[in-house]
Amino acid sequence: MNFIQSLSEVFHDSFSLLLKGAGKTFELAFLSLLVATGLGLFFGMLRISTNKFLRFIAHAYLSIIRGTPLYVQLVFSYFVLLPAIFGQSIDPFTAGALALSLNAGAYLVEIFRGGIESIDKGQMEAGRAIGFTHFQTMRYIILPQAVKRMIPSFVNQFIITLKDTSLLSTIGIMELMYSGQTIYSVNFKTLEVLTIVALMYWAIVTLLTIVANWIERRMAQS
Amino acid sequence: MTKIQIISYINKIKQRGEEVMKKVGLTLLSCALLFGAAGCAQKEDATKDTKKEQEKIVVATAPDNAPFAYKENGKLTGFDTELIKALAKKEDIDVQWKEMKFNGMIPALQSQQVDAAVAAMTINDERKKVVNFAGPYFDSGLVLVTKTDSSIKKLEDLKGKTIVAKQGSSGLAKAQELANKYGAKVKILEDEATLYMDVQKGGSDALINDHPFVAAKIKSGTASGLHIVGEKLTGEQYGIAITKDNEELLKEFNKDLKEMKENGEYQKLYEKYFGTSK
Repeated sequence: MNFIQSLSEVFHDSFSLLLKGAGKTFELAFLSLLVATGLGLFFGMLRISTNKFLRFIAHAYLSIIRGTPLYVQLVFSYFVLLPAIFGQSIDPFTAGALALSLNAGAYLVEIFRGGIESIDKGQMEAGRAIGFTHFQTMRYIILPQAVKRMIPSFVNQFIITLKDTSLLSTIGIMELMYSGQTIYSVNFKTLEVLTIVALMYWAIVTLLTIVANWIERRMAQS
Repeated sequence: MTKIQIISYINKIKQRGEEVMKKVGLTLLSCALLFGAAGCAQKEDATKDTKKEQEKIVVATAPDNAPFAYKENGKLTGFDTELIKALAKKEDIDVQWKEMKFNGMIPALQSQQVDAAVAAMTINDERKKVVNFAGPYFDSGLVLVTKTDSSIKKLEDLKGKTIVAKQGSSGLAKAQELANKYGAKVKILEDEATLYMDVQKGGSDALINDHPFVAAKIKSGTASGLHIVGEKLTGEQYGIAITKDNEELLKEFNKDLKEMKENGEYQKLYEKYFGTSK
């Protein structure tokens, strides 16, 4: 049979399994990014703090996470670090989400910093002038404006994290790529399966981009 | 500067910019073409020789599979490795080794990136549909491995537990069969080492792997706290996987294997790695 026929046959047999994998991929990316946003904000604040020690902590975090590949961080934390801390292996999904969160968080710190620092210094001065504390100015004046500017970079990071989920196959998580691999390891239809997997990743990312553009337009109106 | 001078200066910069972009574009394009050509040339090397007398074969190996394929002082060695070397020598063929993960071998054979693959690969019907096997050259079987203090003493104890196996291996198929039969879960990992680590650290409760690997691991002392549970689960035989259309290599290897078994060469190699108990 030709490629198209083979492709549709593989599609019929495997799509439900691949869809489950895609769900896991999306779940991981979404959860990790949620936690990463919190981490990014927290360490972002530390990064621009006036306190030297707090700044050092932020720099150490950034240096370690951005200086090593995610793959290395993953294998190291799952097989060595976490069992050493907790005495035994922790659930792969948690470990994977943790690693992804820490990784994305480090990059988000710089995105937040860029967004915040792009806001005119006058805004902070004005905020303090009307009696707000540094924290209140951040929360009510600076951050709302900064977030609008950060959206494109934020979406970028989401896409990167989403594609990074494929590395979690190393610790056995049945995400989209690994599900595909499991299928073609048995039916040997590598090309067909990988074509479908690639298309599914593309569809997810494209959908995300459309949603992000919609959000950006809505925010621009305000 | 006057306005006119400023404008002409800016235009000059624009022109220069365009020229540089053109040069960069051309360089990138020629680089891309060069890489493309190099890539094509590489592929042809593996497939061109199938038409005439083969002088060189590319063989896939996974060097984390002691004692079949592993590295000693950086050099590739092991039972599988030496077997291929011996067979190739009889045919006066050079062997170029290509290292890869186990589950990447059959796709590599299908796309003819390699001519053969040897990695303690079990001969089974699904694989025979897409590759040919020279052999069998080894009798093996799957075993179940758990921690020595595990509550799993017989197969029924697997209920609710997690079995881990290697991606694309016959051990995985067996694990899924047992999981269905006894109500267990299956976890899939990709390398030898991580299988054992996962059971040792409690990420999984048991693993299924080929007996020779387990025996070697236990012998080497790196499988502390693990032991084999029960008897061999299956009887399997290993073969050398060869691309589907290479009938000649298949015939030659089968002939040479038979010769090695008859003249005692095979026995010598076997005893070197596995002792005299068969």
